[in-house]
Amino acid sequence: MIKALRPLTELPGVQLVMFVSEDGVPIAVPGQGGPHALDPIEDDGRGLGREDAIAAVATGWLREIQQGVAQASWHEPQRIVLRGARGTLVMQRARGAVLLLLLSRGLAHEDVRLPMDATAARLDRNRGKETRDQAGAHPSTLAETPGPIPSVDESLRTKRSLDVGSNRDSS
Amino acid sequence: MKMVRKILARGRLKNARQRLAQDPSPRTYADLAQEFAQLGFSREVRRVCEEGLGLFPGNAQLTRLGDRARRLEREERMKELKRELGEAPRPALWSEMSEMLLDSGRYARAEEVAKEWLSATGEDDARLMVGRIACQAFFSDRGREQGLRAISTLEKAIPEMSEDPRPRRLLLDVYSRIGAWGEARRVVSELLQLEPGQPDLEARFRQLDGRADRAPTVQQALVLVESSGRLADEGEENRRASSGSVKPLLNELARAEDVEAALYLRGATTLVQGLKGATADRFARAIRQVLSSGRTTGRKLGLGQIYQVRLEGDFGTLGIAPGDLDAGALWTKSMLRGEREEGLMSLAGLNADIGGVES
Repeated sequence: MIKALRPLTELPGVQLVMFVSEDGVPIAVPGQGGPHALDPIEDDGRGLGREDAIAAVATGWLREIQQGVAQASWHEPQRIVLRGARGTLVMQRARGAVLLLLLSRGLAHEDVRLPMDATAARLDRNRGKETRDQAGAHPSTLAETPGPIPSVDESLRTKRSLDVGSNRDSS
Repeated sequence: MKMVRKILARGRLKNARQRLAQDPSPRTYADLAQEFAQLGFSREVRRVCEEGLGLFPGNAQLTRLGDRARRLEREERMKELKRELGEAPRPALWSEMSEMLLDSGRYARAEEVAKEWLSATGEDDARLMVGRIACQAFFSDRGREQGLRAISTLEKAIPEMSEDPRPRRLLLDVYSRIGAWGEARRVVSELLQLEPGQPDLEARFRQLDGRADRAPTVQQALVLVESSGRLADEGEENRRASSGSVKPLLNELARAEDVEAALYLRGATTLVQGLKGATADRFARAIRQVLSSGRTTGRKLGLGQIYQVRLEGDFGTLGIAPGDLDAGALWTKSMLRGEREEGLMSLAGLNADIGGVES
């Protein structure tokens, strides 16, 4: 999962990338991108780190948004942006959890839309694979995780050409 | 090609001038300002907008265009100042630069320039500017940390400028605005020692004396401001003069094809276009909740003053542009971009007069 999130940390202007459960527990934090221009929340001395605090605050807001939009009979939003004078918080739902990014002042939320979509899609596919693994289908590793652009599976191509060959033989 | 475009633009400019002469209205003033803007004449844009606002005070579109022209002019001047400061810095340039950065809300950069000025000259004006910037950053963000920082910056400046009342006046402003009346009273009594017999200070002292007993401590007052997002004197601010009607701009936004609803709120009053009855009420309540929780989250995360909240889902896109005392919101079926996004952003900070609730 960290591997799937890593490309986001390499984007210039991205200060923090986290994958957080809906109840505010960080699932994966692949480290920060750039230096911290934002210094929102410090360690509280009770073992709760800065990331934990950010995750808790952000998902708390997410719940408040859900309650808010429910009044207008809307479903929960998939992408949420909070732009401030010193930075931007972007959250996107992925795999039943939340992909969370903190951007520095100069970076627009639209600049990370595509990479976030790609990462969310990758995380969704990972989940699909993991579910199949649990069901005992194929063993899988993160290295096999497909990228955002679909590609042809070589093993399937070989199998298909063999099938075609055997069909020809039988005819 | 450039030449042809210029000739065509001149023709359009002439037409816009003639239309304005025949029928002076906010629309024709805005058209002429737009033509100047396309030619890059920001000073002319500002002049036309000021003229138009003289005839049609508070017009939202002209205010928006004028603000944009002023911003452009300021950016141009800042570029010049940056170059001059690089070549031969002097106090007047540092002062102008930090003032402009402060006006445009770029507090971190303003502080850098002011500190550079202070370390180069050690002038009291530079020290005061550092304090002003810290105060303004706090008034804008309303975070506890910024508040403590502003207070400590001013407390440090006071012994350095012991005979100068200005840093104490700033500190008095901070304490009064957060509602720390006890501390405010202490600062007024210090000011009275510096400026004995000042009637405004004496009246202030008497006023604060009555409030000081029930006043929260500085820490309590700052926590209160951070959690509510409101300064103690915000009630008075809310009553300040409004900038006119927002209805034309809201109507224009709501008429667009893919716009479901447009909303403007100020204080307890909301104006919704595009939705009616209970649906409009529910929409307004949803916006209020998202906005107030967004402001708190922004402060907690140290994002500074919130400029935009955006939600995307199967309902479409909801954009909210919060101002200091008001906010605008736009619900669209598709993505919120270009002109519509610009229109939404211009709703924030209008402080328009909206009378009662309307749907």
